[in-house]
Amino acid sequence: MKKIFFIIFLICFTPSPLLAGEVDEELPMDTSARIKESAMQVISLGVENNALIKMTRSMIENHFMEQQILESYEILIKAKNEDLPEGPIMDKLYEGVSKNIQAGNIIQAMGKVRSRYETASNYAVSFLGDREQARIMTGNIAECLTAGVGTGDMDRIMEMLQQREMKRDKASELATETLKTARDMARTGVESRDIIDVMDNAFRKGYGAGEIKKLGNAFMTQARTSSSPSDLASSYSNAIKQGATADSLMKLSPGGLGGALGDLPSESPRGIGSPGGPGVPSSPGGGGMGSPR
Amino acid sequence: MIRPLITVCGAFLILSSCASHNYYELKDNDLYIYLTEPDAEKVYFVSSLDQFERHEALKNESGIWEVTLPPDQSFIYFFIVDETVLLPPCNHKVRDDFGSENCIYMPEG
Repeated sequence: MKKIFFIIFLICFTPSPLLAGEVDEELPMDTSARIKESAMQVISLGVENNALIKMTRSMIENHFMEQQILESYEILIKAKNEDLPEGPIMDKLYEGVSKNIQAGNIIQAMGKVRSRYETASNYAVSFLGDREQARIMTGNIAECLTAGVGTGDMDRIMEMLQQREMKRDKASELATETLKTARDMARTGVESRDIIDVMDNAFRKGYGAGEIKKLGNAFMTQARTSSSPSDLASSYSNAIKQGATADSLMKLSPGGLGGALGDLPSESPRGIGSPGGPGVPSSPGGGGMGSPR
Repeated sequence: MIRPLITVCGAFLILSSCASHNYYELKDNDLYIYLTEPDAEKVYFVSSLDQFERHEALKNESGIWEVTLPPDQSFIYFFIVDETVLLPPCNHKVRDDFGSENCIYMPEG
């Protein structure tokens, strides 16, 4: 019996010679043993081997120093040990390479991404109490933080959510819609404090997940043609405070409350997106370059 | 009556030509993203759809650079115009952890 356990232990915790061979073959011949060993360690923690090899090749091709490559691995190791996703960290490398950012700054940025996901995970686990269930919520919170919602404001959002007394599945649903709406509003440039204001008023009026979702959809539709999403957010805050329902927010007239509290419709053009300006060119004839489909 | 009308039309035409040089269009189940940089020699489109690989944009008949993309996914993007990162004046942005920002496309609806 002891022998069986020992064999299982060896299989599980000894890097596969096959995997070592793949790392050897796929990386340039002059890649140092330290890098190869470290790569194996990252892969053993669950990072997909092709993904790590691709990342390593990219760093080598872009003249990262050995120490920088090892630092990037350390970031991934730390992420995996904390059960955080490695995808966004690796994407940050590729983004930096594409922008011709200096290697040192790319490594720093990768560290920031890991840190952001760690913060997001802490919020999510604290709210849901379950690391497994917290994964999706971690992603939503990380997106909020990336969009510019500060940690102080995120504290406030999570506090508001905690204060709503509801069943766990309803609470989770409400959290999802609240975070998505906060994220989307932040992406349009609305300041965190104005987002908090909207959510605070919505929660005080008993908005549930469905209403928050409608609020978010209405806001994003109107924000596309609004010259000031921040002013629009303030309008929403005031309208909700005065009793506007989520369904009526789409009728909110720019800068006013009348539409949401009365029956005046507002129109927003669809299909053409132009930040603040008219003028769409004549329809182009030939096909454009297809990016990944 | 005619003079004010001409003035208004003229102003509209001028504003049209000075309008933001980036916009998108949903057409025939595709997403088109445009960039007006008439003096550029080479324009690349880069996005999170494929780990930020560079894709060469093409100049259409109107002299505008364009790319075609799937319309139903959210992604972050930027252009590289003659080896300089260009962040167009898009509606939705996220920080890029390099001290700047990226545009983000969010599907409508």
